[in-house]
Order: sequence, then C-alpha cells, then structure tokens
Amino acid sequence: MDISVMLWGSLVRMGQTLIAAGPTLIVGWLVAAIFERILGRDGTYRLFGGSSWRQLPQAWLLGMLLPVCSLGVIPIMIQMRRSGISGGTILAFGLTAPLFNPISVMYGLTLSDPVAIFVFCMGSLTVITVMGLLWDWLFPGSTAPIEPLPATPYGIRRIGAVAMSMCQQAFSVSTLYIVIAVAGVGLLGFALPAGCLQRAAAQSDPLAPVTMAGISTLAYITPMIAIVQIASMFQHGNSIAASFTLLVLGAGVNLGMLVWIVRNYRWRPTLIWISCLVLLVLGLSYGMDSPLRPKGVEQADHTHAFDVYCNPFPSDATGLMQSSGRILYESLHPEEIVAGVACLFILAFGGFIAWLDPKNAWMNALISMPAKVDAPSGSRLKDVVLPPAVIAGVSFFGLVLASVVACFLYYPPVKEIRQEMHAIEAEMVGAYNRGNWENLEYWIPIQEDWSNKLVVSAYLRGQPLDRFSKLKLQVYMKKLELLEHAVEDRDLEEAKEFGRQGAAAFQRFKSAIANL
Amino acid sequence: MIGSLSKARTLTRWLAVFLCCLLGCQLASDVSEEEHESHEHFPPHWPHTIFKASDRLSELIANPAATSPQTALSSQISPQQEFIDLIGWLPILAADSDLDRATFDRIDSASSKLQLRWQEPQPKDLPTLVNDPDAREIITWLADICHQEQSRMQQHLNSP
Repeated sequence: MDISVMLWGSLVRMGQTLIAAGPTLIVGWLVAAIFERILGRDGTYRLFGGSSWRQLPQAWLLGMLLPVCSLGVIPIMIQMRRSGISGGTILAFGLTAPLFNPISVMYGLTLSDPVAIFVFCMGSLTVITVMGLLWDWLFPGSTAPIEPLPATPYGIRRIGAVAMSMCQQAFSVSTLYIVIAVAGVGLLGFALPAGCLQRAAAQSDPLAPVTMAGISTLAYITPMIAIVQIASMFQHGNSIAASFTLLVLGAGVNLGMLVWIVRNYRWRPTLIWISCLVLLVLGLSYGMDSPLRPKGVEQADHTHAFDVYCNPFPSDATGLMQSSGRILYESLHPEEIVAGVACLFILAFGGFIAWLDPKNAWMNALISMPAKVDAPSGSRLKDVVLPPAVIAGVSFFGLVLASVVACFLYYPPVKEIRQEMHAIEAEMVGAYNRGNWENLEYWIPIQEDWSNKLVVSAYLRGQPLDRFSKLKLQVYMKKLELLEHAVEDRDLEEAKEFGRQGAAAFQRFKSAIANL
Repeated sequence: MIGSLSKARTLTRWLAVFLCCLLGCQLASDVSEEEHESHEHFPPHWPHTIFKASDRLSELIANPAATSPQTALSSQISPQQEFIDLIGWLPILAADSDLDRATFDRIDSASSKLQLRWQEPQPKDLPTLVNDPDAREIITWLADICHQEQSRMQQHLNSP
C-alpha cells in the first residue's frame, strides 16, 4: 500500500475519533471535576463503596449510568486513584463505563435480541467482578494514598471551582493519554488496508473472537458505535463471540488507558491483568456464542461494520487530501460540532490557566475565601447550604436524566424520521439514475442510520413496530445494502436495479407504518 | 537513567509485538481484499420472489426428487434442506411483495409453526416433510394467492 494512502487514512481515522469523542469527553471532564471539587476525596471514596464488598457492583452500576467513553473515563480514573480507591475498582469502572449508557442500551434492546443485551450486561458484570477481585487479590498494595485536597466552599465559588477544575482536567496529563489512545486508532488505520476486516467476524470462523481481540484493544469505539456494530452483527448473522469481544475490549480498552495503567501500576501487573482480561473475555465469548446465536438469520458472507477500523482509502486512491476533508466533513453531526467547539474552548481555557497560573494560585484563592452566608431576612429555609453529597447526587442524577432526555432527542418522532427518510430516498433515486457514486456513498449510511433510529423511536414512544413492519424494513435495509455493494463495484445497471427495488420496498414500508 | 533505558527497551519490545500482530493481520488481509471482489449476497437456492418460492415448493410437493437449477449447482444443499429453507424464507419473501397484512400474517404464522415442528431432533426426509398436512395446506393456499397476485399485477400492467 502507498505510504501516502496509509498516512492520510491514519489521519482521517484519528480525526474521526476526535470528532466522535467530543460529547463524551466533556462528560468525562465534568464528572472528574465533580469528583474533585464537590464530592472531594472522601466523598468519591464513599461513592464507590469505600473498602466494602459493594465497591465493584457500585462501580459497575455507576459505569452503566454515566455517558462516558473510554477516552472520557481516563480523567475520572485519575481522580479515583487520587481518592484512594482500590486498583480493582478503578479498572472495573474504567472497563464498564464506556460499554453502555442509557442511549446505547435503548438502541441495543430494540435492534438486537433483548436477551442477548441482558446477557452481555451480565457478562460485563462478571468480567469486571472477576477482574476487580483478581487485581485486588494479586496486587493488594497497589492502592495509592489519598491525596489531600482542601474542601471547596459552597455557593458561586463552588460552581467556579468546578468550571476551573473542568478546564484543568482538560489541560492535564489525562489529555496525553487521550492523545495516545487516538494514536492507537491511527496505527490501525495506518496498518490495516481498506475493507480487510470484512470477513473477520464470520460465524463459522472459530478464530473470529481472537482476531477481534487483537484489533479492538487498539481501536476506540464510543458506546453508541459499539452497540450499533453489535446490532449489525446480530442482523448479519456474524459471530456472537466476536461481538462480545468487540464490546468489552473495543469499547472498554484503548491504548491510552493501557499506558495509564502501566504508568500507575507498572508493567508486570498490567501485563498479567490484560492477559487475564483477554482470556476471560474470550472464554465468556466462546461460551455464549452458540446459545445466543439468532435463529433464522442468514449468515452474511462479509460485513462493513469494521471498515471504520481500517484505512478508509483503497490502495490506488488519488486526491487524498480532498477525500480526507470530505470524509471528515461528512462525519460531523450537529451535536459533535457543538461538543467539538466546547472541547476546544475548555482546552484553551485550561491551557490559559496553566500558562498564567502554574502554581494553581487562582484555584487556591477561590477555595480559600471564607465561607459567608448572608443572614436571611426571613425563613432560614430560603438560604440552605446544600451539602456536597446532595449537589453531587443532583449532578449525577441530572446527567442520567439528561441521557434519558437525549434519548428522545437522538431518536426523533417516527413521523419526522419518515419524512427525513422520504427526502433521502428521493435524493438517492436521482443519484443512482445518474450514477452519482459519491452522493450515494454519502446518503446510504445516513438512510441506514435513520432506519435503525426509527425502530428505536417507535419503541421509545410505546408503539413498537409489529412483525409485518419490521420485515418490510428489513427488506428495505437489505436493498440498501445491495445498492451499497453495487456502488462499491461502480456497477450502474446493478445500482439502478437495486435502487428501484429499494424504492419499492421503501414505499411498502411507509404504507406499513402509516398509522404510526 | 538505567531504569528509563530499561523502560524504553521494554516499551519498544511491546510496540514491536503489536506491530508484528498488525503486520500478520495485514498479510492475512491481502487475501480477503482480493476475495472482496465477489460478494455473495444470497444462498444458491434463494428464490428471490415469493412467486418463485411458491412454484418451487409446489414442484417439490408434486415431485420430491425434482432438482432446481440452483440446487443442481450446489451439491451441499439437499432437497429437504431446500424445502425447510424455503418454508423459513416465506415471511421475508412475503414482506418483499405487495401481499397485504392479513396474507402475510397467515404465511408468517404457518412458517413459524412448521419451522418449530421441524426443529425436533429426529432427522426428517423430504417425503415426510412434504406430506406434512400443514405444509401441504399452506403451499397449496400460497400457490392460489400467488396466482391471484400475479394476475392482478398483469392486469395492472395491461391497464392503460
């Protein structure tokens, strides 16, 4: 493969990673700031069950609820370590938090077999419990002492301290680990040629989970992408073992996190831990493969689900700079643009603070001001000083509630999605009749995404699709896939044929869901 | 200083292991890139339309030894496997047609019922399968429905 293709492909994949990580990175910095400035060291320690048996289940539950990814979890893990939490619990949280969040669980429950998602959740609980217990048993002296931290005063200064802490979290050593994680993605994009993983997860391939373990440890996957890929693997009859491996090692682990573990716990424990983790995940994967295999699903001979880990360009690609710009532009969604701009601002403020105030005098000044309560003129209830635990509880509950609200925003009403799909179908009709390949390459994945969102939206709003409508949609998505392959092969006749079939299937699907 | 050098050496080794794994994957993937040229979207005995499925099922009921051009090409598919697959594919094929919801529901429920019955462990030969009264009933009924639907489509095409 041409070195320029490898380099540009690698840069594109790194750019896409940074774009996708924006929203969950902000959540990661916010949670780390709340741990540091509201909960404090003791509060964080208690939140994770202290030294009781509850530490691992609590880490799992908190990880399931918080919408962070494997990059956003790094600043949180740093705060947990500074709070004297055991290594096993930190790694358990670090592994689980990126696997699921309320939006992705909703997606998985609707598009995959709910039993499979439940088993995957329980599988992840088993993995983190075993790995957490194993770590604490093997390396009992690995817990760092609690770093002293002055209490944050209440009121506007507390809000200011959280905001400043967020900026400091962003411009800290945690960002270096994030950069290393992104470099891992770039390494994959550099080394793996376009489409080379299309047969990596075949149901009949006994080595599929092992291949997936090798790839996904370096890859970065957001919880949403992980669940989309798992749903796609179920729909295409791919290896269930490979999909569980992808979920735990792909969404849970990345190169930056591994380097952080090495830096904090040294090589030997890290190697033992990662080896045990891979073995346990592979063991569970092979165990659940046969029982969870969906019945009546034809096994596809290949899948495009893992194309995102490979180089985006074929070996003979030209015009790489323009193509890279186009791919990155097409990867931008409104929420990611907003989050990306916010990330840049937070990073810039963090850099500004680190440059002008290297001794952290501003934060010290902010938190050392004497607490002052204005004497209430009337009832004391009007000016209650809320304890940090209440503020932290409201913050976490607010984050979870925001995730639930985000579900309804992310999955708009069926009627709106139907209109959107109708407009895209009209765009595609023109494109396949003219042989406008780039246009089709742009619209087909968007249409597939809307198709999946429609199912979840109908479920969320209490009107799940019946079997008739579901199969109509399945037929339409199959036609889209066939069209996608015709586009790949640049076969105009096939594209027109599958395009026409797709248009007919879409009309039938629209009629089937007319009452929704 | 010595500790740092040792760490650097270990880091280099670790990265080398990763790169070797990736290189191995890359070499293995060269083959799959070539294979990528030929996409196989459907099994050889996939009938493409509910009408063709209905015709083939009727043919198998009338003459269980009859081979189709598709199955003749693939020696791996036995006639009973083809029969079971066709029954299992009826709902998705019905969904890929203009058949109404009530007709679809009947096809879907008959297909599920037969598939469930045939999942039992004892092996079944084609004569046993095609002599299942429920299978015969649904195939005969389906043939009528398909005939009506094709006539309707023909009329629609012929209408000015």
